[in-house]
Amino acid sequence: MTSRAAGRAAAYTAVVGLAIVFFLPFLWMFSTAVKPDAEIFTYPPRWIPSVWKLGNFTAAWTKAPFSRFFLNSVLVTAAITTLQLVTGSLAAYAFARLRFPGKSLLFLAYLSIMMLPSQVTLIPNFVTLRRLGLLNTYWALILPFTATGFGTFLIRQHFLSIPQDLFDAATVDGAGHLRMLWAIALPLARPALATFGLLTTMWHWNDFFWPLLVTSSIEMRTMPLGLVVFTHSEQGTSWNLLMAAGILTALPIVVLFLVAQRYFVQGIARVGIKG
Amino acid sequence: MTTSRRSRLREILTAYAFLLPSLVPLAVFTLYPLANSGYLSLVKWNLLSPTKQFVGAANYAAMPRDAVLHQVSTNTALYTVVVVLGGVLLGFVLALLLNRPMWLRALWRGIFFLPTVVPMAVLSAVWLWIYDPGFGLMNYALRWLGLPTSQWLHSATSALWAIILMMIWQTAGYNMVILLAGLQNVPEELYEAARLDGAGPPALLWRITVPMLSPTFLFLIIVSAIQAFRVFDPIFVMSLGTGGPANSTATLVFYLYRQAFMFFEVGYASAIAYLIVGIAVLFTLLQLWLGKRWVVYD
Repeated sequence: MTSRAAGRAAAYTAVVGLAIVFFLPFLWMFSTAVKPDAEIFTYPPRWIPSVWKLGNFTAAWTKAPFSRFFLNSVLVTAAITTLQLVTGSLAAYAFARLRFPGKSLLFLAYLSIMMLPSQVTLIPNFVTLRRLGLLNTYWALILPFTATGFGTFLIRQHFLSIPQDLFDAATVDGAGHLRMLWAIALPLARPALATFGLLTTMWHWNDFFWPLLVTSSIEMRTMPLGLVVFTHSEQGTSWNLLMAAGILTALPIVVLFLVAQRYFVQGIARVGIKG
Repeated sequence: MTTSRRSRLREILTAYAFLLPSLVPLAVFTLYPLANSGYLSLVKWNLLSPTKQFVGAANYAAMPRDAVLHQVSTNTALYTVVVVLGGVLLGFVLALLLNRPMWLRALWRGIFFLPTVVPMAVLSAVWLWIYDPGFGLMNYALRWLGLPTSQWLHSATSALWAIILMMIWQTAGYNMVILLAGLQNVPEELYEAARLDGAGPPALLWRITVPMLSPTFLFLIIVSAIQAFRVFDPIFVMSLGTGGPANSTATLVFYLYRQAFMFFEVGYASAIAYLIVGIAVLFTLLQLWLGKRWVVYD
């Protein structure tokens, strides 16, 4: 019995120790973000600043046009998530409930697209958008992500599990497929829609590479890209402002995660695929 | 008969109408680029000039002679192997520790998972500061422990390792969540039977837990490898957009980016893109093959 208690104590020590180590970078980020300029370069470092300079958050927000970055990020992420939910649900319904020639071939194509490394599409998509005159616009940030192989697959799996009887009853009532999708399939697939919606929101909010490539003017940048303003600056890095800006960039997605942790973790555990 | 045929036609038309909104963008932004990249990898083009010069396989033929590509490939391989093995191993330790009723379990799990959620650009910025040789947390901690300090991102010998260390921290929580789900599926009877036979904790771990989780491990290793060898964000932010010092942190995708959008060698960059796809396909085939050979499926 004592050895079991010792084992439990060891497990707790390990978990709490690891949790502290894992969390230290975030504490360090927060501690730096609220420091006055004079206390950033002190040795040994002060974890708790002499005064909490919350003004750093507003200073960071105004040093670069973060209101604009925020607006861009919200707009682009919301547009992509909405479009993917709509196009993904429609395609998922066709694959789950309709019979048509070419079905298995097309489904295989959607699955392969899900696996394809996005790097192979970078240059041609850049060229296409330039030819259309869409570089450095919202279109460039949104259009390439209109459709989703992964979302289609995830929602289809959920649609397949809905009992046929429900659809048969609706057919008798004279409902068309669009009506059945809207009134039966979508409400029952809510958990899958929430999981996919959250994951895709996170991926596109956090996306760095594509906005870096297709935006050139500062007004079109998204929040993660906005941070580069602080790291690549001429006068050296203002670490406190950079950390403050980082917190503001991460905050929306962290809050979303805390509110909907269940869907995030379930979704990731079930499908196990990341961006 | 005619009504059923008409309803059949209706069904087919409905299906295509439903597919159209995703088929068109997938064709324009995924299928066409896939084919177009193949074509571009056979030309010499600077992204701006109206003409492309067809060079056949010259871009591929140039690869073995490109010393930087060698270095970049070695960097990518080292990064991938260490981040994947380190991240999966640490994730496994976390999963084993948390796979029991525990006080504040959701909090601990949330802390380990947090780096998965926070934007990579933000994490990179934080670690850029942690690795600051003069006033960063890392060297402070090392001095406090009485260990030698390092130049971290400022030295060609340590910069890639610094990024690797951060990425093990970043990926562990994701691996933990998947492995925790796997652990829940291991039947408790197996452990009970083995305990009756006198098996101790190490035997339970090696004879039951690890083999029962082998499909999860295989899945995680392949998915993480496909993810890791395409790393870009932390490389770009932490090397301040250079891949330096002395190309020591440049990876394949970073090199593709530099060739295409800084050196305007579009043909060569497209060949590298195909190389990346080839490697991803290889990983996927490896997964299918290994899955058949040594994984225990219940």
